[in-house]
Amino acid sequence: MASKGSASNGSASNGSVDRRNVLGLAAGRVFGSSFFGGRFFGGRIFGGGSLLAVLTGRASAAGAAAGPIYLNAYATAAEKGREPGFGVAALDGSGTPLFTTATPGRAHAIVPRPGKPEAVVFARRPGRWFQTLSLEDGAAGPVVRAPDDRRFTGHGDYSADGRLLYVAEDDVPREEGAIGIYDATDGYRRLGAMPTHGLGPHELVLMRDGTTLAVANGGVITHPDTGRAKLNLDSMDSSLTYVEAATGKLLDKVRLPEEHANLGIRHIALLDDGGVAFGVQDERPIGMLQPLTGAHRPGSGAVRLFEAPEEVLSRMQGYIGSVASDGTTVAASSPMGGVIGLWDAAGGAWLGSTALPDGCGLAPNGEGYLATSGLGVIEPVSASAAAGRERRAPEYRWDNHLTRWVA
Amino acid sequence: MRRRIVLGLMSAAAAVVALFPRGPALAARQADKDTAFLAGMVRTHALPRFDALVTAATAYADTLDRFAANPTAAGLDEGRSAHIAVTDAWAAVQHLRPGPLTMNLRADRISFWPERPGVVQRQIGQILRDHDPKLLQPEALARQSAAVQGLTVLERLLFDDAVTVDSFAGSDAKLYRAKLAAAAARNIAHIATEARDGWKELEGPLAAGRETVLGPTPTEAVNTLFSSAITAMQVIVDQKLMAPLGTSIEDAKPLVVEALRSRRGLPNIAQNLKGLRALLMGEHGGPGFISLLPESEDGATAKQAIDESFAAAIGAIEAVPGPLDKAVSDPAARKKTESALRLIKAARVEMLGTLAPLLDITLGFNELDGD
Repeated sequence: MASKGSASNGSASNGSVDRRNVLGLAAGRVFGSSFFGGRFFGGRIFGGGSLLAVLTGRASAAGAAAGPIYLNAYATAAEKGREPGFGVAALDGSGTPLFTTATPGRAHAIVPRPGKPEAVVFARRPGRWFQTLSLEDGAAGPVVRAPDDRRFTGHGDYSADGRLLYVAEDDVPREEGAIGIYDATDGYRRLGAMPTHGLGPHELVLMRDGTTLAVANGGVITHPDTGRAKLNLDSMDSSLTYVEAATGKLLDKVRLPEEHANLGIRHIALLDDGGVAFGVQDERPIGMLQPLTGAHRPGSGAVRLFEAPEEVLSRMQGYIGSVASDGTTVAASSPMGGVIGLWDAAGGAWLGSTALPDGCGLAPNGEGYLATSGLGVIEPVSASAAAGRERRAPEYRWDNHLTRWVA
Repeated sequence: MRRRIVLGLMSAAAAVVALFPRGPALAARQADKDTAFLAGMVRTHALPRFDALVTAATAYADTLDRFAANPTAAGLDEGRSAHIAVTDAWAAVQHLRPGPLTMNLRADRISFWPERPGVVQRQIGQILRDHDPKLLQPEALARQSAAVQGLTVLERLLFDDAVTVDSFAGSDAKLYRAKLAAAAARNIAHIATEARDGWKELEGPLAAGRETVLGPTPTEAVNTLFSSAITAMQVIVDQKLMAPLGTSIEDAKPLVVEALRSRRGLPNIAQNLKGLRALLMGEHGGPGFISLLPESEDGATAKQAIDESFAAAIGAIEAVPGPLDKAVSDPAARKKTESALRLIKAARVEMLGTLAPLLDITLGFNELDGD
């Protein structure tokens, strides 16, 4: 259904244009082929929020957008008899879509490449691919396939200079966590791998020192033959490991206290103190209220666990889906409970919560956080947990993670 | 640590039921109808099914106790029949995952599946080599790895290739095999009893519309149950059928079928579907989810669609020539398996696309299973 012509072909009179409201505004979807000097764009570019902009061809791509953009994987809303489509959408700070890029399957985390208007998007686990895209217009880059004996876990990060990509993966035959290393300057050629020194890695982040990779090892083993089934819940072993990026050397490793051995550390976010905040998931319920967030700085000994009101912990049902930090506060979402909680990073003090049904995606936005939900909602949340005005994009089901990018 | 409610949805690919701020509702449900459904469902669906599991597991343990005292070929046959009865009873409650079955890994301890390649075999081999009598004491197995506690270890002890009555008699090590089997069956009976009692304790609070392990309100409890039913359908599709089918006949993975050694993969799926149909349609005169449908033409159409799509799915899976591990690699049987898979997916689509909107249930998107 791509319209080949100029922006005006994307007007409301063109039958190929989806005329459903986009966030309440009649923005047509415009497919750029000759749109920008005849160059083909893999991404769909949205009008700058108004029909007029589409008609006059002034659709603003991300490159032209002022301020940061936000990236979130999505599925198109399920309709009877139609398979959902998957991709990545770029939004401006108000939640208006700028462009979308189709992906080969359901995507998970998106990470921008330092120094370049480019991002990598990882397949949802068990992941068999990652793909790059242009942050100027959403043009899709190459899809890189996982080696046969590896499955990507959905997260990764670039080196500080943007030359290397580190990908969290399962070493399937060895049942070990691994970090795949790719050369971003050479078509994402695989250079090798190093261990995470933990089991069942999920999120991996390059720390502020630029030399250490922090890895959340969820502790659960899966296998390609059995998909997402968890195969060692009775002997799960979650940990937070710090790995020297240049050598693969283990710098520090911590586990949760024994009484919380049923919790898996799966998501992390960087803090100003040089450590990370983390969120957990209860893999083996014991029927108790347990802390679901905390923080740790490498070399500092035991983890710090954050407190939260019992009714919030109860609501969260032992499940944190995403963790974000602006450096001094920590936000964690529980899509199962439809609630987002906020804490002070330094002392772990509880700051408050806000309700967002099926809400999961979280990224700092300068005034707190921007949050997205599987029901298509995009909503700012202040650092004191007050919800701002929500926007709806009902045709999008926002997947787990939201990423902020500043050009 | 204070106790918390456990919804028990954290398994397999699943959809979340989200409390969606209401637009113009197609059919706003009433809390009193939800309460009546929940209490009736426990009384006529959950409890009879868990009672049946307790009865079958107790009979299995008794049978194996007798067999261990006097191993005979006939006794082994009786043991195998009793095993199949427990497997059937287990498959008939597998869809009732939220709440009691989720606590303390009860579901995994009754049946540890899918398995981690090689690991179960190794653990069981070690136990048989060590033949530590302490493991046979009451409650001792319950503290071991989930893999060696229930049907998973029993499958190997009784149904492994080359197992005959001679495998259980003639030496201490062989006799240990019989005693370990009896202890595992007794362990299943304990776990099943705990789960049954858990449901029994739910009946009163659910009937009173109080907060329970299924949810803080009757409405949320209904949504939890519906979501777990969708999860159960997904487990059948993804793990029980698509995993062994693989992407092609060359890619088939017969070793990942459920209940591989006792060859109960296909009957288990049929039992699962019958359990789900009963939860949706009601059984023994009790209410199913359809009791919550509006009394309109749409409601009647939805009821018919569920009834017919499940009947077609059950008929198709029962028409596959077994066992499943052979069917996935046999061209003709594979075709029938794939056609059953399509019909099971179609029944799931009716649950999601036809039933859910009329029940005013919005299914969320973000995952429950560790992403």
